[in-house]
Amino acid sequence: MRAVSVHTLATDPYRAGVELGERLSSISPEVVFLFASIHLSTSQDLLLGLYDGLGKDAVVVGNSGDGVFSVEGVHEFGASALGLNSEGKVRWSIARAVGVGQDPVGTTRKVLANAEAILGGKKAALMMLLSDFSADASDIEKVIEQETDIPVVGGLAADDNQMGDCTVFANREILRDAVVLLIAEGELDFSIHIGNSIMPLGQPGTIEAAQGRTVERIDGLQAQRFIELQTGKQVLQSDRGMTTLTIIDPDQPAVKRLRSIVPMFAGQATGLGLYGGIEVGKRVQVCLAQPEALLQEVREIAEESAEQGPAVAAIVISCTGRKQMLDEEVRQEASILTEAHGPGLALTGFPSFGEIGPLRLPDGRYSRNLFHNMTYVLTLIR
Amino acid sequence: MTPRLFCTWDHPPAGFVQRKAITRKDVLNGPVAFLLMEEDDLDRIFSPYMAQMTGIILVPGLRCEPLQRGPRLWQMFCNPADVNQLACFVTPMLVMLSELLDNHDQHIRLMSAKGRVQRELEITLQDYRRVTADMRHQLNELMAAKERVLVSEAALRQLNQDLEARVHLRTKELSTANEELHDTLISLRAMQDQLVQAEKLAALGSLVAGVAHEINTPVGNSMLAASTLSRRLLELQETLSKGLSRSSLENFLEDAVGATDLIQRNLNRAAELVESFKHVAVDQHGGRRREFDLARTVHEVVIMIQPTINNTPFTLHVDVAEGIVLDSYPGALSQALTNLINNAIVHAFADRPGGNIFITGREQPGDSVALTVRDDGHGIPQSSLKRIFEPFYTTRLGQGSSGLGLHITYNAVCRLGGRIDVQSSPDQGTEFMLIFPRSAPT
Repeated sequence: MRAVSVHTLATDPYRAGVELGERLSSISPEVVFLFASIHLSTSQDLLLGLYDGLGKDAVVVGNSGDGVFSVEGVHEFGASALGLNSEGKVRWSIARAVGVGQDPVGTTRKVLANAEAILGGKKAALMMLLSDFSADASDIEKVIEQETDIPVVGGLAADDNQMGDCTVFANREILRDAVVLLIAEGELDFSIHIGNSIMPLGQPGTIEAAQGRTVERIDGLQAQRFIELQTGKQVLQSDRGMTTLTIIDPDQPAVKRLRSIVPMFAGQATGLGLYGGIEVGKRVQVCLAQPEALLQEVREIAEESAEQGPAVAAIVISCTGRKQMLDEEVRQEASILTEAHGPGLALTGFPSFGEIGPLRLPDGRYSRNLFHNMTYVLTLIR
Repeated sequence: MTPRLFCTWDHPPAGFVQRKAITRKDVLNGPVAFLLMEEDDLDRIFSPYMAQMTGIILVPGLRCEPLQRGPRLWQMFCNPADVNQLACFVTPMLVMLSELLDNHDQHIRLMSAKGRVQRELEITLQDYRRVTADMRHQLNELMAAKERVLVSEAALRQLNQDLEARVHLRTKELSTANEELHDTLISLRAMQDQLVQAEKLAALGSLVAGVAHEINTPVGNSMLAASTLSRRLLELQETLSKGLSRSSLENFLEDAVGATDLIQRNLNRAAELVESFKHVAVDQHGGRRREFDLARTVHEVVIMIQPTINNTPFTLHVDVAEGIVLDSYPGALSQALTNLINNAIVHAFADRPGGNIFITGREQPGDSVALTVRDDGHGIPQSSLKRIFEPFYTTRLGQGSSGLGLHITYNAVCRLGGRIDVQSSPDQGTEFMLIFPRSAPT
């Protein structure tokens, strides 16, 4: 597997695309993972430039993010791309479906059905799912958790933390309200690593009232009040994406999922927004991350993965809440990997509004596919 | 940056690269200079891109003034005779445009970063206002709470003052009441002592009455015998003057011997009674300590009390071991025994046609003695049993009972250095066991 990653700070989408495409063209990539800040992602010119720069066709998948990851760190503005060439050992294809905001379950089913049609009975090795953040990703999770056993990594597209707009790339198309699935079929050597080890604090509570991505009541209290009692501090807007609820699954203690909060202060709102819904009856516990703990789990992932041999490419999908909390040190979420796997590691990725990936179970297998918040999802290609 | 200079001419001038077909990438990928064959080509080729292009489009012509065709696109004219110098002229301009573009990129990035900082600042400000409002609210609540505390403290102070005044008043009243109570207690104790003394005297009076009754019989017998003897002497005197016959003398002597014997026996009995009474009365009244025989003392008490018993349907059974000599207070023992017997008569057999009182006396291990007074009467209820030795405790209040009898008994036994054990069951009678040392404590 050959891999090249590039990034650009150009502000003109076309020039940015050309710059990326020209530099990726050195390996004639079969697939390009393209992530860009929202400033570049709304114009078709980015993809036009990319293809013009590549000078040939390739499968392109990606989306807008709250900045982008590159081997140099994290950039608020710009675009980052990673090209792979497996010499034909892996067949890459794209499935897409629109309407995820209104019907996340139906749209996800549709894209999975499209993928099956493309595969024609073969089984994919890995899939990457990228979605508009307007969807309730816990509904997407229900489908990819229960209706496919193929490992799915991915995340929700983002913008510059205004939650105003986002786009998803599918070859030459820039899509909104869509789910895009990259299908990799063939001899793909990959590993998926999840960092979500932040520790819970306080007492668990039971969700008693919830609607979509809004939780109204936990343990007889307004959801916001419950958080305040557990953390000992007022819920603030700046907690958005950083204060998290962990969903406790007594049947599967190894399966841990996090949901970041979106405080709602407008009007008479009493509930608590989340980056993904939680069903009534679930037990949750508040988590407050510590920056050093976030970086430590990345270090552990990097060291553990490097022991399996250096990877050629890394795709990092990391919660934008982690980026906010780590501030400038978020660059270490990339640099720790290049230090562990060597400077030849090609790397791309984006700070996301939600992350998707299976957990590595104690027996070495992957769990079902899960949706996370405040999580670091790393896909390594060898 | 490598200047990009393209031309559509068949023979490009120095520094220019020929482009037969101009691509989008040629046009849009950064600052560029195009040398066209003729001005008409400009709109035909570049009209879709003019808003995005950065660079210079050169067309043959002699006009000097540049025309702006887009935000960063200018049209300029060149003298065909000077085209080989164009690269030298255009390249610095493209470099400048490239720097302009870089500055433009930087400006956009800065504006983006500024926008982000402003948004975060706005969020921080909103949080700050929210926290401040919340703190102000809490401060107001604290101030209100403090005000309430101050009011409460003032009320508490007043309450404390009132309480102190009331406590002072109550203490004074209590002190007065205590003094009155103390005086009353002293009076009561004096009265109790008087009553106890009166009870003892009453018991003694009862003894006296009994003894007087008992003495009355031998004295009466003696009087009868003496008057009979006197009458017989007068008869003998008259007979002597008329002539005394031997038989008359013998009859008189026989009667005289009988009478004097009768008188002697009855007077002895009276003397014995008086001696017993003297013992009991002196012992009870004087309370002196001496050596005495238990059986004899019990016997003397029984003698004293027998006249009372004789008027009742009750029977007294005495079984006291001989030879038990005590160094103690016989008066106190007599007092205790008398009261226990009287108590049985008054309480144990009330409204009963008959009854028995058993008095037993035995030596006990440890140089002590047990004197038991047991009856087969009503018994004492359990609820009363703990209180029977309390002064003035009686179940026959207003029926002639003072409630002091057993209290006096208790004190008497205490004086002996002993104790009283009581066992009683309803309708099974009551047993008082007095256990005391042979030698009373000093």
